[in-house]
Parts: sequence; C-alpha cells; structure tokens
Amino acid sequence: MKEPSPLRYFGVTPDSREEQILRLLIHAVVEGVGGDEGSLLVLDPSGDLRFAMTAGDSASEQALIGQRVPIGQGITGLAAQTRDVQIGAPTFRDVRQTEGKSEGPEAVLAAPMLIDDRLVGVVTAVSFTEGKRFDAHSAMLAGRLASVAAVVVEQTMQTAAMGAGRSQALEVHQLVDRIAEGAPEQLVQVASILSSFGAALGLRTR
Amino acid sequence: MRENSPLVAALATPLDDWWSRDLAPVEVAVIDSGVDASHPDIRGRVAAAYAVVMEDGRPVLQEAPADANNDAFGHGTGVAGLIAQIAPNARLVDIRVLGADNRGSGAGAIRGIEEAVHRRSRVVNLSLALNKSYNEQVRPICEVAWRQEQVFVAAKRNVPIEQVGIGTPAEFASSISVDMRKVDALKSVVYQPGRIIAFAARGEHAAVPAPGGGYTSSVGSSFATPVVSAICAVMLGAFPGLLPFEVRSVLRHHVSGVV
Repeated sequence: MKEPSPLRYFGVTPDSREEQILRLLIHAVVEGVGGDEGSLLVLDPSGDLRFAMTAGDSASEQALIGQRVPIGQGITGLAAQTRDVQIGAPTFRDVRQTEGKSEGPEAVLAAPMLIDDRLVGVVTAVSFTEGKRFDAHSAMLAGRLASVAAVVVEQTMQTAAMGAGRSQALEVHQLVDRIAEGAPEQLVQVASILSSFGAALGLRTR
Repeated sequence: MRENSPLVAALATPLDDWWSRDLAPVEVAVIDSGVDASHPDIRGRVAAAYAVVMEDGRPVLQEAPADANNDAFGHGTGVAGLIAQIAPNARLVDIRVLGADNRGSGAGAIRGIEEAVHRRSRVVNLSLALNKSYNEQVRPICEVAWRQEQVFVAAKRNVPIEQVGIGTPAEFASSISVDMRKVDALKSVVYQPGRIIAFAARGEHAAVPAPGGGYTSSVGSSFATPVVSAICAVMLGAFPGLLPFEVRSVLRHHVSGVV
C-alpha cells in the first residue's frame, strides 16, 4: 500500500495546488543550487522529520516517502536543530582533500522551513557530482525558497482551520434550525444558554 | 589614555603583527555540537570538555573526556579547528549543547552558556543562535559575562527573514556579532556599519577538521564566527587586560574593509 504523504499533517492534499507549488519550490531549490536531487521533509506530530516529497528521481520518491529522519541526525537534523541553513561536504583523510573518507553524496544542503520560529519542515538538496560544493549563495537561495515553502504550508493550515471553523458554525446553525422546527418553545432557553456561554468567554452579545 | 595601556598598544600594532608577540594563553569556550579532541589538528588543545544532556526534561551538564571525540554532528570540530588553527594561544573548552536529542535544546544551550560564564572563559564562541523567545533568559547571562570581562562572539543566523530573529545572543549589545562575507584573507574582519551584526569574516573554508580525523569544507556564519573568536583570542593574548568594549574598538580599528 502506498504510504500517505506526511504533508497531510498540514492539510496539503495530493495533487492540490499547494502540493504542486511545494513541488515547484523543491525543483527550484535543486536547479538553483545546481543539485541532482532534492526533498521536502515535514515535522510530524511525534517530533521527527519525514520525507514528504522529492525532486530528481521518481524511484527515490517511492522509496523515501514517509521515512523518518530523527531530528538529531545528519545535516538535515542539524538544520532542524539549529533552525539554520546547513551545508555538508564529504570528508577527506588529508587536508588537501585527495583521499576520500566518507560515503554518500558529494554535497548536501538543508534549509529549515520556519513559521515565525517554529520548525515545520526542512528542504534539502544533494549533489552526486564529483567536486561539487554548495556555497554561501546556495545557502541563501535555499533559505529563501524554504521560507516561501513555509508560507505555503502556513497559508494552507490557516485555510484548513478557517474551513473547520466554518463547518462547525454551520453545524450549530443547523442544530438551532432543527430545534426551531421541532421544539420552538425551547429556543428562548437555547438563546439563554448561548448567551451565557458567550459571556463566559468574554464575548458581548447584541 | 595612558601610553602603555593595552588599548593604545593594540591600536598601534598592525593586526598581522599580533601573532609575532608573546601570546598569553586565552581560554575559548566552544558552545556547539562537541569537539573531536583526538583530531590531529586539535589534539592537546582542549583543556576541558562537557556535554549538556537532558534528564527528566532538565538540562544537566556532564563532564566528557577532553581527549576523545565528543562531536555529535561534525559542526563543533570544524569550529574548534578554525580557532585552533588561527589562535595558537587558544585553550579550548568544549561545551556540547547540540546533540542527538533535540528536545529542550534551547534550555540545553542556555545551560552551556551558563557554564562558560561560570568558568569565566575569556572568549565564548557561539556558532549557533537561540530563537528570540529565549532573549529574556539569555540577556542577563550575557550582561554578567560582559561585566566579568568575557567576550561573547556570536553568529548571525543564516535565515533570510530577519523577523524570525537574527539570532540570540548575536543581537545583544554585549556580543560581538558575526556574519559571513566573501573575504580572501583568513585573519581579517570586515565592518558592517549601521547593522546590528557589526562584523563579518570569511565563512567559506575549503578544509576544516572533521570528526574521526579528516577534513571537510564548511560554509556559513557558523564558520565566520570562530575566525573572529580566534582573532579576539590572539588580541587578548597579545594585549592582556583589554576590556570587552576595547576588544570591539580594536577590531573595528583593524578591519580589512567596510561594507
């Protein structure tokens, strides 16, 4: 069974406009910094990062979606922990960097997605091209685009919250309608209860 | 101003000449992800090591071996390596606050800062920034440090929206705050007049020590900050007795450029 996208935590549904915009942003990060692949990870309710979408290799997306990345792990975890853009490069045995030591991609970049200072996710880019290094310009660009991605997430969450509020108000309205039809004599009491509840919340009634 | 005061001497001596003076040892606390003290470039330079761990939701400071790998991410080893490379007189104190357990990391970082203040480390390098919700907790600690003549050198955050906060304690007047710039010379500082983040230094380094004995490249204000910390350590070693505001004035006097 296909793993549901962790983007659902933010109310971003598959194939929605917001999902497409986030995907565009990941592609923009990868292209802008000259990377080969990229990804967007979101912070799930348990406090771990989870892969939500990738750019570059469709097989990677199938393999990675939903996978957890503990916050304290690797460059991505460091970006999440410091709320700061982080850049990783391979390790060499010697200072002249002729003899490689580490495995994995040549260069990694991770930019936190922040709403105010609350972490909602991390955008990453990786390069497998030998000798490729991400620089200060890459960090700045990825940081900016991750900020835009965070705004998309924030707007989606706010829209979802407003929608939930509207549907609850509609439920109350429909309930009052049913009382008016079935037991109109109770309406005065209902109005009194709602008025008292409003007063308890500090709301003024007309 | 007395002619033989350290301030007069520091202002009169070109920055490059500081290294040829008899440098007194200066303790530099590195509050970061830990340091690999066994790395060949750092071996023998770490005087003490600590790790802040969370126990029952509270940050607890534990001693760590001062000759082993105490780095959880590789970040602190690069930072310490730059300080060790630039400041031959720096005695490093490794205070690990970034680790595998993110929860309570703000509280952990504050505990680390408190320890550096308790130790009276002359220079405190913070290549990390707390978010602004910690401002009121950290500000008085930094004020105490300022009064007991400690020099806090703190990184600006690499985030594009400054409303998020440019970084605590970098935005405090009691800190020397550092951004990164394209600068060729390693031992140089750039002045950014009119900005809260007053100084900048080289933030791109082709080879810094990595945990486990090796080298990697590094980018960010995190790696510009130790350049300034190291220069401050050399300054204080060459001209002991400088007060924190004098350190800032001397840095300003000897900048290689204004942007």
